[in-house]
Amino acid sequence: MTNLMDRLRAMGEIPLVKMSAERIRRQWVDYSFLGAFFLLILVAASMSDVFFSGQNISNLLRQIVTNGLISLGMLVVILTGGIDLSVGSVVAFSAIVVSGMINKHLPLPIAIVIALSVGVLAGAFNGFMISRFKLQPFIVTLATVGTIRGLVYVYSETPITPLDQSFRTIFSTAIFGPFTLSILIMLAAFLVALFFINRTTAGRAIVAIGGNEEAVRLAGINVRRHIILAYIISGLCAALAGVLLASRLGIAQPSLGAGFELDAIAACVIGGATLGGGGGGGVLGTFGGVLTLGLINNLLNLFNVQSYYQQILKGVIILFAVLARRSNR
Amino acid sequence: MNRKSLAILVVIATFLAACGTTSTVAPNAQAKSIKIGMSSYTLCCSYFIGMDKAVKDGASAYSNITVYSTDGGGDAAKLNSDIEDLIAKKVDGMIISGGPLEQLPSALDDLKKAGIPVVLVDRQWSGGYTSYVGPDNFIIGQQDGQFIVNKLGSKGGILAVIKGGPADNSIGLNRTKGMLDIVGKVTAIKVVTAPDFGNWSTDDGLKVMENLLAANPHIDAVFCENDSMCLGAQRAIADAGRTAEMFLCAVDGQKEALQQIMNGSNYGCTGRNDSDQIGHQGFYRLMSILAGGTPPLNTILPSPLITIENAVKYYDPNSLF
Repeated sequence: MTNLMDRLRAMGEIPLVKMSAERIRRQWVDYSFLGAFFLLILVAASMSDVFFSGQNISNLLRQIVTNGLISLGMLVVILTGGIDLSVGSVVAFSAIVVSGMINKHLPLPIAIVIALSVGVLAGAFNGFMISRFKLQPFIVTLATVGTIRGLVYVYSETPITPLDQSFRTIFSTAIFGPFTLSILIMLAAFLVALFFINRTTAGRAIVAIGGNEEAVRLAGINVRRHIILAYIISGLCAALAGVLLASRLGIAQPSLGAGFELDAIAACVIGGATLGGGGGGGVLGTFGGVLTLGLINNLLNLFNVQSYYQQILKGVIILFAVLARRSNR
Repeated sequence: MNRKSLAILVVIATFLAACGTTSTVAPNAQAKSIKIGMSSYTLCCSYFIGMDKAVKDGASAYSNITVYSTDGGGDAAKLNSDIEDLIAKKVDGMIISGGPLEQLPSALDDLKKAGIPVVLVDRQWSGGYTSYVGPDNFIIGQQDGQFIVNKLGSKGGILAVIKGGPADNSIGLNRTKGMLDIVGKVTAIKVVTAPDFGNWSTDDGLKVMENLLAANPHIDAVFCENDSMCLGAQRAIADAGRTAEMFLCAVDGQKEALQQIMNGSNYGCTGRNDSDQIGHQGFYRLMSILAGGTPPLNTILPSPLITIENAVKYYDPNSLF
């Protein structure tokens, strides 16, 4: 078992002689990002009296829950060398299903489980099509973006307002300090993912598939099953994000979540993930990416900077992230 | 490598420093400073940008009023976050332009909890706000419907309808409902609704109209939920050589549509929503609330029907929209 873990670990890493130099370089980049991040917070705190207020910190954390969960699922898929463009549609689907089920007077836990299984099904379908027929993840999930969105509108053309008040309050009531249940769920998800990716065979296999799929196959690992698993995780995360978002907004619009996949991909990339497979990207880095994107939004709102600049800055940060991590070939 | 990370730090620090300079325009220490939040669901299009600008323009005359403006980028979750940020910023009052959004209960709850008055502009929600200023899209639709009925006369005809979509966009739905409320009373008019949405844009309006023209050998009138789509549709009709066969009616009062109406083309009518007026009215409504006035819950601004008779009165070649 341990032997297999080690071999998988090696497969997921950057191969060849440059390994140690490359690793040191990457670590440097990670540290400098961390430094830039803290500098950003310091500057922000010193210039805005509101930034460190309990309310603002709570706002910031609640605001990153959706993108946090989606990015986590996206990371797992990106680690296999794939991508999941359908997450935004899955968010809408689960948000509208959970609201619809609640209004059909189903008990809350059952409504949530049904909404989550919608995400699992969507993910399983994506993963099956990709691994069974060797189709490109970009194309398959591009197709399901529209298909799932269409299903959302078939389910309900009009927005659904969940009538059960407890659904709205349960996730947003502070449990301790600024932490609401929705924030704790997201943080727990990151901890589980940290353990899953680094300490379980399935997690290591997923990372290794992104490094060298053929080698993983030769090591006797069922590649197909692990790819399906990765997309199921992504679908599940997106569905969970949808449930929490419906609770947070108090209304589920069928048009919800359009473009969410882009922020998730951005968070993964800022966190060091490489699209198209091959090393880089971790749970902590992705969390940093999510937090950075959330901070940009929050700070520029507090400083009353026009939203167009938010978009520009977002783009600049993404470009810098990939530039700094570019390997010197 | 070190240079790279240094560059990143410099860029971010410079950016924040730049933000800082814009935010530290200190108001007169004596005067009470007033902070107003202006949150838009989207600043995609000139209509909504015009509204945002009008609020800023209204406030610019007062040195102690600051407007904090946010753009939801067409995402309900982002709009919600923006409003939370402004509550943390302790704004004295909020103006919200909800675009096509149906309702945003959580943001309204939070604002209520914080005791911040809310003026909705352009988009009315089902409750939970202090005051609403804007158009009534149902009435605008009715006006168009009356024009269509008058023009088709007792012999009626075939009316094609192009919707903007998506199916949960009740702004468009209300326009069509209002129009059908009048047209539906005339049995001689047969309504054909395009199966596809025109997505509020000229190019998709053109495409949808092409399909309608192919499927229907004869059409007497076309109704679009906005001018952009009808401008595209008009193009498709001209390309098909069927300009004399039908006339078009829409809503918005876009400059190009007014031009078509003025020129006496087959563009029959439009209903005018003036986003500049809506923005200014919203700003002054909020100011009187902050001064202690008790406002009416809803104020419907008139949206005049524009035809060849009066188009010249509303046409402004320098208009943003």
